[in-house]
Amino acid sequence: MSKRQLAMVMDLNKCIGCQTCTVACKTQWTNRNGREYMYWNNVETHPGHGYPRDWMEAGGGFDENGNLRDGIIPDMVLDYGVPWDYNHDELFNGSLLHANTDKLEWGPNWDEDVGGGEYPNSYFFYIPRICNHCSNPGCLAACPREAIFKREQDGIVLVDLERCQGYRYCIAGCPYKKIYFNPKISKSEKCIFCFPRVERGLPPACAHQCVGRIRFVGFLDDEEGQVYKLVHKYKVALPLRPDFGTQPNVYYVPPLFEPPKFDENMEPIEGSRRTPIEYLELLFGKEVHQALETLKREQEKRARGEESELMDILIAYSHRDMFRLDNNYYQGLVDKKLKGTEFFKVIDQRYLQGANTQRVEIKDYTFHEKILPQKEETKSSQH
Amino acid sequence: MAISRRDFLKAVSAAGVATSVGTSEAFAKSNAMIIEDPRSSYPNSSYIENMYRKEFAYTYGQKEEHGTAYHCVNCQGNCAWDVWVQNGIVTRENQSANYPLLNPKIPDANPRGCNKGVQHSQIMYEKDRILYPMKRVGERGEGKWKRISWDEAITEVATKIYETMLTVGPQGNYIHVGAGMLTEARAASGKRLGTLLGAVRPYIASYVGDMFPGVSLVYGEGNIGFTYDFVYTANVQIWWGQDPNKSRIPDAHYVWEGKYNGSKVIVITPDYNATCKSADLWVPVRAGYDGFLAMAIINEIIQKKLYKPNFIKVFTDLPFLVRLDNKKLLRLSDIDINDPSFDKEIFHNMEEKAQGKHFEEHEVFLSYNLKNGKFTIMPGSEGNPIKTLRLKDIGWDIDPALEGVYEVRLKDGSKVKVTPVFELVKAEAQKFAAEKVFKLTNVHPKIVEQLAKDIALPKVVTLSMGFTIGKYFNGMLAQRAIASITPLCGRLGPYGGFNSENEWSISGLAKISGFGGKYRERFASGFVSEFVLGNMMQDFDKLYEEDTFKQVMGMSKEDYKKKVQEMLSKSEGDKGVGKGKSYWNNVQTFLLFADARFRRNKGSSYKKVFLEKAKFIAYVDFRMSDFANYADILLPAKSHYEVWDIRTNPGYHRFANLAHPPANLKPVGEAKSEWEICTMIVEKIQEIAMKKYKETGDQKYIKIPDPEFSKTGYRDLDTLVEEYTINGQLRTDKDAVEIALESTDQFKPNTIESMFKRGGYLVLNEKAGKSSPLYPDKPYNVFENNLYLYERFETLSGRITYYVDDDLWIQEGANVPTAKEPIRPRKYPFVLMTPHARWSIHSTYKTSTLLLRLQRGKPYLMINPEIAKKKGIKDGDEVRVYNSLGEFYVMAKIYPSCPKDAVILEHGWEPFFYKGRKGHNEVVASPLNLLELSDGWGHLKFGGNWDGNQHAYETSVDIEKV
Repeated sequence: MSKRQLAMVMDLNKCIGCQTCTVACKTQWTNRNGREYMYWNNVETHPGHGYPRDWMEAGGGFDENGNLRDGIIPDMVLDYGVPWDYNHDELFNGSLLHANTDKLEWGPNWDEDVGGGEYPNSYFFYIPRICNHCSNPGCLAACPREAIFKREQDGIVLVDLERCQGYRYCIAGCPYKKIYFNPKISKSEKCIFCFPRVERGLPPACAHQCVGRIRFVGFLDDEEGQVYKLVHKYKVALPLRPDFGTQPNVYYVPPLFEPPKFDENMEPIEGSRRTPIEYLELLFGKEVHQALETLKREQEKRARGEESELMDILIAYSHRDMFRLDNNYYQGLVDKKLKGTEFFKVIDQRYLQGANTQRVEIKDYTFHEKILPQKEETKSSQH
Repeated sequence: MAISRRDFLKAVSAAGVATSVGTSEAFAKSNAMIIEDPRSSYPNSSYIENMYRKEFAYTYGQKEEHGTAYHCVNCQGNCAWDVWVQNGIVTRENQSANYPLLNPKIPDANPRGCNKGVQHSQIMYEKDRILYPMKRVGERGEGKWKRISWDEAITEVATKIYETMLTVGPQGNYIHVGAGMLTEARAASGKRLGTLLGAVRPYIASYVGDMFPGVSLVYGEGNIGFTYDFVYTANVQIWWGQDPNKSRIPDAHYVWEGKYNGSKVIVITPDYNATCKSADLWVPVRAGYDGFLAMAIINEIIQKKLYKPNFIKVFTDLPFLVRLDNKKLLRLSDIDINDPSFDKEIFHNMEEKAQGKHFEEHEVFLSYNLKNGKFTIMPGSEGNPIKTLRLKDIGWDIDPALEGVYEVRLKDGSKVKVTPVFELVKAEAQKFAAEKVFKLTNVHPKIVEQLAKDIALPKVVTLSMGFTIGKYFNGMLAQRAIASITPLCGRLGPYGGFNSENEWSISGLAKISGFGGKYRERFASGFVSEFVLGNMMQDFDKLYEEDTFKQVMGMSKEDYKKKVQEMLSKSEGDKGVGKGKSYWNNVQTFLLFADARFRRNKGSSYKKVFLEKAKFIAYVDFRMSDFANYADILLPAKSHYEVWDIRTNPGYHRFANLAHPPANLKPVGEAKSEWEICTMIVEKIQEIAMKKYKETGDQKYIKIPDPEFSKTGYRDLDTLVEEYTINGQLRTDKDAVEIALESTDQFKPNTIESMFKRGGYLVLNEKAGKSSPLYPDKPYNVFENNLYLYERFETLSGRITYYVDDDLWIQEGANVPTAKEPIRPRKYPFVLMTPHARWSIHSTYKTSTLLLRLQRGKPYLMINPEIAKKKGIKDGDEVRVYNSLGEFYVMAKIYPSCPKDAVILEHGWEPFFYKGRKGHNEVVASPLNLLELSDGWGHLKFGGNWDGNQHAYETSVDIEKV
């Protein structure tokens, strides 16, 4: 196992399905170099097919005995969807604007907001998905080249492109289908948890730029951190499809919020659920009951005007406090002369705190001016 | 379920057998590197790590070179972004996320932004970018262009504007900044130019259909409400005709954080939208019947006595007396003040306190004082110099009756029965009792009962209304009814109440957009101008059914048309100013900025008629919109990351954001800022005019008569440049920002530098609040000053207004809040709902490849599964949508959350997305509502608060599989 594990919690009750995360990731990593079709971060409507289509039925992960399960590689056209382009240049010729294909048949968000049920009792919710940076990654287990590894320092799962030969076992092996084949370089690529941002003090793009404020990032062993509290203390953050056996390090606060259904006279049925609980069980396991009960109990407490640490955490008063990147921990690696740490120059002071990094007090809200502190200055403000 | 090393190896070998790619021969390729367990350590990781590190460093560039920006299209979100740049090319954008935590107990505003702003860096280099000035060389729309120089282009534009001034007068020009550029500094360029030249300038909120006239009626202004952090503090949040999860993306977090904080979230919409999915209660109102539901709620509140009598007596016109003989408000000018039933003492005391200030007797109203059984004048109305709303003061103590019928003696000695407005409102509301309207509204009476309680009982309740309500023909009445609910329960200021959208009071910007009152703006009514420009009455004729129209409106289509013509004929041209909704029919030269009007305008005839009228069209934009295709001259504008700009309103938050281009940014083509373009135009007009004057010696070439709109009586073309540029101080976008910062009190103390250092924003100071203090640590909501200081509202009554006694309004039964059905044709089964989209701000960003890939790549129509099945339509099929006005083609999306009597198409798709260039507005007519057209009563006077709307939802269609 890696020494420490960086993890993310996503609160599905706050997710508004806007996909700012998806696009932030795209401009940060996947709008180029053979990655165009990839969504390292995507948001999908549930119940639904997801992205790539029907990934939950595409195999991979481990069975009860710890054996890798059979898996398939999704089809580029039918499952991922070809990233179509447009004839923007022809608008100057008085042309219509259209995609470069007649066959617009599938895309990463094709069934947006569709969900299940019938009017007026339909229902849906969103699940944003990145690589789970699993403790027992299916992709890693499946790789015949042993070209996939977990970083010792923070558990981020990466593909060693030097060794990767593009066999694609990893894609079949990942039950979340969150590792992709790059046709341009014939190697696999995937979400890297934005480690180059994290090392320099900036949270992953999808999390930092999430306008619904649903994402918390921190180390799982940081007991002061929201991630630890949501996962371990309150147990309201659960891994997606724990039955896949890969031990994900991305956790979800399951959807509690939804309005009641209507009876045939259009009268609301009190206490009714729209989303079948079985569906939530499928996604998050039996633990979902406990998690939903805890959430409900704490929410009611808060509504009565009582204190609730859990609600305080989920409300997240200060955006910068949602991220605990523990920069001193990374800077410590510089001292250990780990390769590549010449890149660890801090670019943002706001998210540095963590188990090894005391809260950095930022007295005023300057942004451009104080952003590149001298190393000494950083240290002195931390101790 | 951690697995052992042995299990792991087993798993790996199992993978070799199980996976469907490759063969085990693949293992033959071996390598000397031995890896014990790649889950815990891995040698030589730095190669790949450094690749990604370098990639990140490349996109990030140098912090010192970053710019700041926001995406100033008409979304109103207004979010501060950090613009990353490498070698002068923008790589990406990341929210600054640096707004302050105003109160440790209220979530901060970070990281404001959305899915559209986050990809501006990609579309700013898209191939539809207009790079050079261009001149049309083929037919309009044919797509034949010739690149020309800036000087050639400006000369052509300036010449056309100048010639129009000479031949038609200033009113022959139409200079307009469209919805693609709603900002303070940047938009001021075109506005300033239009004002200086005396060109026609239409009201934008009106023609896009985003005006709140029904709200102006009630509160005296249409744009009122809260900063969105306020909903976090509410016990109940109601979202009516709104989908904040989709259309208020940067602020939506406050809704759900508020829910965690204990608030109940209620959404009232026909479709089960993205906000409904997490609400506590969804109210599935039938499309177009919002007004009926609002009236039912009003009835419930009155019948169950959930209203607050002590509040409404003071802050509303509900105690004002109405004559039963003619339904007119009882005025001081009506009555015999010597009759003993009139409280002369109070009148006298008020007169004394007024210290000689005049009482406008026809604007002073009466109530029946329960304290002494006398009729008394009420303070605070327009004609009463006593401006307080206080009913108990030295000199008067009024407890006005809300109920009963009284008899009052008029000046001529006759007696007439009067009753308080409240009685009439109560009686009207009873017609809309929940069980009576259930069939129309689709809302169960038990829900109405619950809504009334949820609005009346908790401490803080917000009722926010979206733009969809005004998009029905009778939507103004629905707006009014909805806006009338919360005052019954005493909701103002800290207790919440009604929200459309808050506007800050920002003084000093007139310096960059105006001329200190020297010139009056030739403001045109938005909805009327467009109606006339497109000759849209023919669409009305084609679409609407005589029977339905007559049944709903109580008049024949012919009578309606006559009435419209009669009203319009009074307010046309310079002579019509002050006589109704102004418009100028002889406009012929158009200079338009960021205004994709052919995707916006309704009906099948607008485009043709408009193009015939428009003799010359110059269009300024950064991208080739559908409308740009029809221009005569195209001028390339800079886009949001290339300009200097500042933006504040509307007041969803208290920050003004700064657009500050990145350092060393490489220019995109020959794009220029709008300020530079306008400065070039005035320079050229002056040059041409002076040349003509010097040649002829005739003053008429430099002095264009404009008696109504210029204080000097002329437009002086020999001083255009000094006037426009304030003697050279205001020539560029950066100049505009600097002057705005210097001259606006609410921005102080700030400079470009201070805003930039903070991440591209400033916090408005306390002066920005219009009707409430803007506290440094509390969310803002309107009307605290009214509630606590008894300040009057800007209405005729000085109060929240329920009664309008204009003749037309009485005739239409709209003297009290009421509701009318839609007039959409009944023979087509589906209402066409075209809400704001998640993926675009109107048409802006609709053409983004990245965003289109996250939709369906082309326009799609959401259809209820049962309906689709009946029609034999499958998901992905091509569908024809049609009615008697026209047709368009779209992809079908089967959507369980769509009601069975409606189809949904997110709006903003430009015609060039559709087969035959026929967009979805082909099937939409937008008739003028007579009440919206009416003008002159009390505070209902033409202006930014009282214009009308285009009605995008007032149509019905049928669909078929192609």
